Amino acid sequence: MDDEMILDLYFARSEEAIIHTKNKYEKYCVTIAHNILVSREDSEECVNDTWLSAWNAIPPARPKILSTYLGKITRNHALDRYRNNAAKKRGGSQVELVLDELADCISDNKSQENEIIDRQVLGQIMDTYLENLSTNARIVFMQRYWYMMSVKKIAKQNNISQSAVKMSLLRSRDALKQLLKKEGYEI
Amino acid sequence: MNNIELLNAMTDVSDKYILEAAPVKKVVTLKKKIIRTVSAAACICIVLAGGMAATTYAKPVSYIGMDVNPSIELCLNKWNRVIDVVTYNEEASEICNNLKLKHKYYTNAVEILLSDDEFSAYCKNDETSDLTFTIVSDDCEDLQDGIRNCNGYSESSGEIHYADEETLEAAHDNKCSIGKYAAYEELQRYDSGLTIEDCNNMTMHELHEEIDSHHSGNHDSHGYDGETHNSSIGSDEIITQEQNHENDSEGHSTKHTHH
Repeated sequence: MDDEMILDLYFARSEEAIIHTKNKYEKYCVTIAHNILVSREDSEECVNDTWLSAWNAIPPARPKILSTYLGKITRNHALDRYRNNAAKKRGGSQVELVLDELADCISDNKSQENEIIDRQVLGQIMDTYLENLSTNARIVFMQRYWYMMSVKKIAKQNNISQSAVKMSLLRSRDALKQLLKKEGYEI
Repeated sequence: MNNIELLNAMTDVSDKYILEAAPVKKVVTLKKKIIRTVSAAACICIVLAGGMAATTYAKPVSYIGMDVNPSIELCLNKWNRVIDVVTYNEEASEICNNLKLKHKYYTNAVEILLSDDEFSAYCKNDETSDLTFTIVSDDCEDLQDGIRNCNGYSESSGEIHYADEETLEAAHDNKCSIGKYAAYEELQRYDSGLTIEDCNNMTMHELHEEIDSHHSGNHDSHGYDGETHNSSIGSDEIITQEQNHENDSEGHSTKHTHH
């Protein structure tokens, strides 16, 4: 079933919409959640939250691309859950490594000024930044910092060595650091 | 703003970048699936066949006992290869320690033994040395033919007997070679009073002499009874073709024919 038909089911408030969404995107969403949460159980719960969020948001929302829409919801839920789990000290996630890697890009100090910067603005800055990256570097960057895939998996997926992945990420982070500095973020 | 918020903010990047980097599911074509399945099945078959062959190879199905005084037992697998060599006395151990008999075809192993100086010294074709082959197998006749055609067999004092698995089992239980145990069983029929230990310490020639003395009625110890002697000859617990032949042609003669 294509995405338009699934969206029509949402708009018709048919519960079939969730069944078809699940059939088509469960694996994709579980992968995103699992890269962040590690735990299978947590990932499944997180993805169930995604179906509920999608049910509540559509309508009125009518996403242009259903997969990324669901992916974003899953990622948000997973990061929220990660924060809760981190408080309970459950480790092993790629997020810890990713956060370490990004530590140089943006300060952990919460200044009043930075607090008020809208998340959406940062999203736009990231869009600009990604646009200026080469395709290969962008794919590697997104796989690492959006999908939270391990370096090993990224290397395998792109048929490159792990050291090439690490080098690409290092250069991309340096470029991001410069851009954020330029935009006034505290480094 | 901290790093986790940066990650949160990244959630909202353009869909095109998210799609572009989406993990690719590797599409496995039907052809690849078939190749993988067939390869896996072939591997399983090879492993199973290998395992079965190894098990079958290591399983003894036939036994050839060679007794003079040294008592040696060759354990053969389905393909008549020697998979184990059992020695029952020091003389046999000394001989076998210097010979490579394992994994040899049984006729080769027999020839190696017959051509060995130490072993052949026991098998001189004279009146004092009896080399007894005792075969336990479903293919006794084939094995017998093979042994008869071995180099050195005709020069030896060899004679060939058959025995059944029950006798073999009893011999093993008593830690005795099959040839000597068969002779012991025969002597038991005459109430000879000899124990299994006595038989173990006697040469095959001495055992045959003891049997012969009972057969001929010259043995007056141990309460030998001629009738018992006669009735026991026809027993099939240990039967040689030669004995059968002689029993047929000469009544109850017990002389073991040497070939």
